[in-house]
Amino acid sequence: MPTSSIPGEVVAPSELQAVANDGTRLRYALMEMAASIPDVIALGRGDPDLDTPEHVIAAAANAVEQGLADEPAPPAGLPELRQAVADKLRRDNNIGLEADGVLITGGGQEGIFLVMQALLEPGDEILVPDPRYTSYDQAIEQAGGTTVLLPTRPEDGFDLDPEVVSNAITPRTKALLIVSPNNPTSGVVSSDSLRRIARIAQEKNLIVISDEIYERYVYPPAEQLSMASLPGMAERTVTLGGCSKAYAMTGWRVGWVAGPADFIHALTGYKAVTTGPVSAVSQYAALAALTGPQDVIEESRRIYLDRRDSMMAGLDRMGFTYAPPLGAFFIYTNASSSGLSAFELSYLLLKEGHVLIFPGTAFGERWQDWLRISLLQPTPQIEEALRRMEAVIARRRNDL
Amino acid sequence: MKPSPLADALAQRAAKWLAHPIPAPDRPLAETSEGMRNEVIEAMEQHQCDHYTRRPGIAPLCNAVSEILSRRGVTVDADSGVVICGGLGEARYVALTALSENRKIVIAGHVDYAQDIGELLDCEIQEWNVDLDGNGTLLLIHTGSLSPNQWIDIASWCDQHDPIVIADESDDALDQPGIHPPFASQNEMAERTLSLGRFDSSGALDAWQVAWFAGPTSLVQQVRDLKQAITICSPAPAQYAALAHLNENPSDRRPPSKGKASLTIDPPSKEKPDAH
Repeated sequence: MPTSSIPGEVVAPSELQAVANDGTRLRYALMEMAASIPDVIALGRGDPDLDTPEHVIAAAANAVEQGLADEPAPPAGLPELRQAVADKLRRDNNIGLEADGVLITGGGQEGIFLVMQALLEPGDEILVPDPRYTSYDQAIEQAGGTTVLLPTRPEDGFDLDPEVVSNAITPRTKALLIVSPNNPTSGVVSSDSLRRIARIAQEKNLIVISDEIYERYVYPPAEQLSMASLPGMAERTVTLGGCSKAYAMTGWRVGWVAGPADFIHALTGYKAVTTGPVSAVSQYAALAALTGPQDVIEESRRIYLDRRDSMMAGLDRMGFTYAPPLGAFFIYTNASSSGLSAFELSYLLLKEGHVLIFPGTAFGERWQDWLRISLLQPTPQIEEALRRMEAVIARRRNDL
Repeated sequence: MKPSPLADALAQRAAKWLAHPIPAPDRPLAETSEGMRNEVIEAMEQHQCDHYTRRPGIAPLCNAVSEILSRRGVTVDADSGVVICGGLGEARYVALTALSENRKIVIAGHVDYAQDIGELLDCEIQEWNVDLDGNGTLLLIHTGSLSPNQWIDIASWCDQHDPIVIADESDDALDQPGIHPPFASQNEMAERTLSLGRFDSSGALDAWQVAWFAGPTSLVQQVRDLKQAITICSPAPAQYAALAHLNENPSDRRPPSKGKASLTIDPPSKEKPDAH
């Protein structure tokens, strides 16, 4: 580890410091560093450790054997998959649309990119809750738009305050991005806030982009409510979703964008000349995920809750504070009691403890004391990670 | 019917598609082999496709691309100089978008897709000619539709004007010995050229949406960063499909393809590919 002349100072290597202010690059730099550590416990990336369900793989294998995977899919996606997504949104999210209101994308990430490209002109402002997954920033910048951050607070459970939204609107505001459950905070926008924000969006003629990629994982007392299901909102809301998080299918790269049919038609045309159709075999896998047995969702929810409880107990022991996660599979925790910035602590935990955790600055510049911990290891590994974290912090306190 | 507020809100680059019909996909030209299918199914059943892959693509496939290009006279680093893409369309789009910033696009050969993408990027596009001022340009060439004499003229022009080059080598898939030397294998072209292409000459992999781009690290990283921002990585099953296809159809064992005469341009100090 690079040394410092100041006792107790943690000096991260230059290649890490060089990307400290770029959230996306910082996360990848830490992952690359972790890849060289044989016994690392990875609590960084949001890549579920669970297996893709067997019935999904079987369906994909069948599509391959039957030659279906050799038939190019239409740019909008397989008709049966678009219908399955529409059925799911109607059934689970109370969003009434048909298959022509669905575009299949190469993962939720591609949906973000395409929607920003389709909506933002240079100079358009888009309101984004902070902290945030910084890939939104990249997509907005690539489209020529301007990110306007909406602060959220741990004391509110990282809910989105409608007054904060209202105060941030300017004549250049084009859209509002809602991410619920949220990455990195695991907060869920309350039903009351959502309804008030919906009224603001209609009054101010705002478009709402609702990223619901984690919507299968909402924990009591929170309840999932889709913006597009609220009165008057379907015509001005784009709903993003996918299979990656819900069905542990990050490697298959299938997501969707849902909205009014005319908007989806235009988006499909744009996709056809840019990134092209999604791989057919992945679409058959996604079809099986959406139409097959859904007990895998409840099972994984139970697993993530168990891990969440273990992690919360460990953070309590370390004196780290947090807002109890109400969704997704992360814990966003304030680690200021360690005496280190989150960037330094993240590096120290990796180098000495062999535990990969992302600093909050990977999700926004002001989150200097925060860590995002993913719950994507089995509970025994989480317990081991906590032991290592406690040992590193104890040694650090002794050194001081 | 009155457009939705969302349709009304569309940016200009997407709004034109409101009135455009969406093209239907082409029929597949061939089927994948039983052996390839079995290999992909095995990868899926072993849960090798469940998670994000390395950003550039699975290592064996990147290595294969690097090895084949090396045999064709183009040296690229397998780790930092090769990226597996989700289809040829995606490869072309990310390459053009990432490398055209502050540059005008000059095209040579059959690259009709460039007009669509150029419109989206609000980039000026010109047809190449030997008298064109190439300073600050991005040259996009479809190598397979150019004559040997055009290659010579273009390479000479590049020497004088120092453009960045995207060489669309899609007519010369990696599963065959090589119809012609890659443009990047020409003298002084390697450091300025990003090559892109497909794995499969028969069209059987078209629906799987897998392609590649490769070149010097400095160019590849720019394009890779954009590709990653859009899709994180390419679908794992498609990558294993491409790998299985190359394993079944190693380009140095296939009989040479008939048709095109070999070019008279020699690759710089490298073993000549089997060109016919």
